[in-house]
Amino acid sequence: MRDMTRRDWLTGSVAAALASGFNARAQTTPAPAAPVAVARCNSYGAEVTPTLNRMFDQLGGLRSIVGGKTVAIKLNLTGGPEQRLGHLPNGVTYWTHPAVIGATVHLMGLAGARRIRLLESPWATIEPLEDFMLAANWEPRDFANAARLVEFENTNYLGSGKQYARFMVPKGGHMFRGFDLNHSYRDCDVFVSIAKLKEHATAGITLSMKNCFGITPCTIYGEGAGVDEPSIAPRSGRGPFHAGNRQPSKSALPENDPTSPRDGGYRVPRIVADLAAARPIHLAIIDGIQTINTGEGCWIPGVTPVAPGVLIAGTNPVSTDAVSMAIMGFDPMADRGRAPFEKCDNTLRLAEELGVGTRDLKRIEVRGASIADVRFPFRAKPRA
Amino acid sequence: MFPLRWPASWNGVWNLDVLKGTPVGCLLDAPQDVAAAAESRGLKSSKRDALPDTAFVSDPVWPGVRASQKADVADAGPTGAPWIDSNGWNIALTQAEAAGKTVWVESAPEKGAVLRDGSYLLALAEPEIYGARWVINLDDEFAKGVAAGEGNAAGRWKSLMSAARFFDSRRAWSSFDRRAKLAVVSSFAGSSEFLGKEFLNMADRRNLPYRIVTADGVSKGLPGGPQAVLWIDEEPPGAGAARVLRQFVNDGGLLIASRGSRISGWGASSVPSLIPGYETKALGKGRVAVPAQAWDDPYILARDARILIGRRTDVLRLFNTGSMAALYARSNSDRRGIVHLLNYTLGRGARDVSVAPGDRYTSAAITTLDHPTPEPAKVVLAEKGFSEVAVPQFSVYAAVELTGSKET
Repeated sequence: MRDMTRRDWLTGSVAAALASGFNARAQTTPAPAAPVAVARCNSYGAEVTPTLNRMFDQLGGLRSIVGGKTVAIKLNLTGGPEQRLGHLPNGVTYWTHPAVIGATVHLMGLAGARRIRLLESPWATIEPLEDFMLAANWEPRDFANAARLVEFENTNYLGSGKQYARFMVPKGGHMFRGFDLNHSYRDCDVFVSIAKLKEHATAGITLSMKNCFGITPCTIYGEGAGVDEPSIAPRSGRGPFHAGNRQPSKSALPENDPTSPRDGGYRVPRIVADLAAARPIHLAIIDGIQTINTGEGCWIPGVTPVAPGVLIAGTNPVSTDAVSMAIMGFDPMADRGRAPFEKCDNTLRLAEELGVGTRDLKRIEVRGASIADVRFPFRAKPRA
Repeated sequence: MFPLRWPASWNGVWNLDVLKGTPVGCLLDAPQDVAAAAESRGLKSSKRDALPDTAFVSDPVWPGVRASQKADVADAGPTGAPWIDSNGWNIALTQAEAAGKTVWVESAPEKGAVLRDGSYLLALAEPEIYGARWVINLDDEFAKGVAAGEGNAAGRWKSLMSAARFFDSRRAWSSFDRRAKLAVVSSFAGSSEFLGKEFLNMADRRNLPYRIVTADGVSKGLPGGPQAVLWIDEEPPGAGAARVLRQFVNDGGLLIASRGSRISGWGASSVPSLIPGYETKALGKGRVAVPAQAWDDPYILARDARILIGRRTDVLRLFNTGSMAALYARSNSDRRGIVHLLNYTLGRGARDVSVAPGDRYTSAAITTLDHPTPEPAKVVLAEKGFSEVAVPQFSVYAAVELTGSKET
């Protein structure tokens, strides 16, 4: 997919649609569907690589996705490397586990990926991603040795790029017309999101799309971002995305409607949907072997380690997230007021409205294990 | 043996009875009659300025999380985390500047301060982990209560003396070699005083251990085999210091030097810098990193140094330590190590802590002031030579004793 240019924006139908009052719900073309592979996987041991390999085959083979390509992989390493839930390493709670990352990199290397770049925007730092991993007692060399030409980049600032890359949101976006991101999200042929199977305190769930909330640099969109130009270094988190208490640096595009609700349950799902449309995800992988329930990290009160023992992968992030939600015991068609969206809008619906993909399970072919085989309800009873 | 500043409210020789059977062995600035009686009981007595072999930490603070004006709120530091008043960096600096002398810390609580349980234990424990000693200094109310044998004060005095005995019997730990890969070079005076001293304070908060080398001492060499040297002063090094630093870089070290040091002219070829705002050059097997603009913010300098040095050669990794100080030291004579943990919140937030020293150990035992008998703990060998140990909840101080070290 070609990135939309400013000329496209100014002259094309997108601007016209927005000017005439874009109503995504009125779009009639059905959002695309794609198969989703599901597999039981009970540990982070030797079974991870063959299980993922089988799942990629069920999706048509990894070679067709990454062969000869530069692949960028967004990980989920939320929070600080020195924070943990209890004494547990973060890989078995709320980070994507290194075994899943390593296996994916290895299989992509075997499938002919030309270059693999691991990406994350670590909390409020310009520290190299490898060092962030080391601080968590991970060994980044394990990933570097898993395939030919593996690179790392901290995407929470300009990084090794000369300028930020602009990504426009098809159909004008719910909250933003476009985003300025680290060059690594442009300098790739294939974009992969490796997420964790988790609930989220603000957005209800955090799966392959919500993982990409973290592709936005806090130098532009964060609490301490520069007013006119991006700051050199990120100083805090993405509070302004949640609360709408300030606009991004003026060098980036502002919100479509600064008078829209300042409620995180309204804003975050829309921004996630916009990002999923602007920076398309070609492969979504969800680590549900071990995770936590109730929220996205150890800072959420009441989170508890759980072991669903499942891996999920698909080439459409909305469909993959829909199947993941069903495995978690949630209805992907649920709207605000129903679990897990008691206090927020449904990100999947919003992404579907932008044409990213379908959340309708009737239209999604599940390959490998069935949803019923691996269902792991995250809530025994409805939460108030 | 602990020194005690004689409380003003202890107005008679009979108050010496309170000290019977305690580790207090020296009275500071006691009245003449008390001093004479003390000496007859085998205690030493001295005026503070008559101790030539003892160096006192200048401007010590009462350690702890700084209380806010607002109820139930702690003041925040530049990291957004609570601001911690600590003496660790100041002790290390005093030790560097007064090499060979005993270092005492005479911190005292502010007049009228309401102290939480454990506050005195923290004041006593903090200098111990750095190899110094607290001059026991009781607030008026506490001192009167102790003299009167009043229940609450007597109980607090008893636990303070138990803690003193605890550290006295483990004095050998202070002979262990503090692990650090960074040497900080500065005069810590004049125009370098604020940046130099506050850098040390901020580095402690970032778990970036260091050795201090005074600017005029660097020409004698860099002790401890550092991986990186930070030259803070805005003046160029003298000829002797420059020779040592050049050799250090040629041998593979990283020299982070101030803009005004003129060290930017040393390197032959520029190499990509790890972070914006620095020019990095290769020299021999090593590198020289110089900022594009003069440093003025110690918080930023500590952040930059942390990133430039990297995590690959961390000596100690910490998890869930929040408002704590940690210090890792290793015996040079046998395969033993010790990780000291100080909890400045005095109990709050000290849960689920793990420590991971960067050496291999086979067994561990944990001792706290709450439970002074060592409890065996499991050692999990983490990535590439790090030995991870989970620490149970503790209030003020915990020691993780490690055995079976194999250098990695």
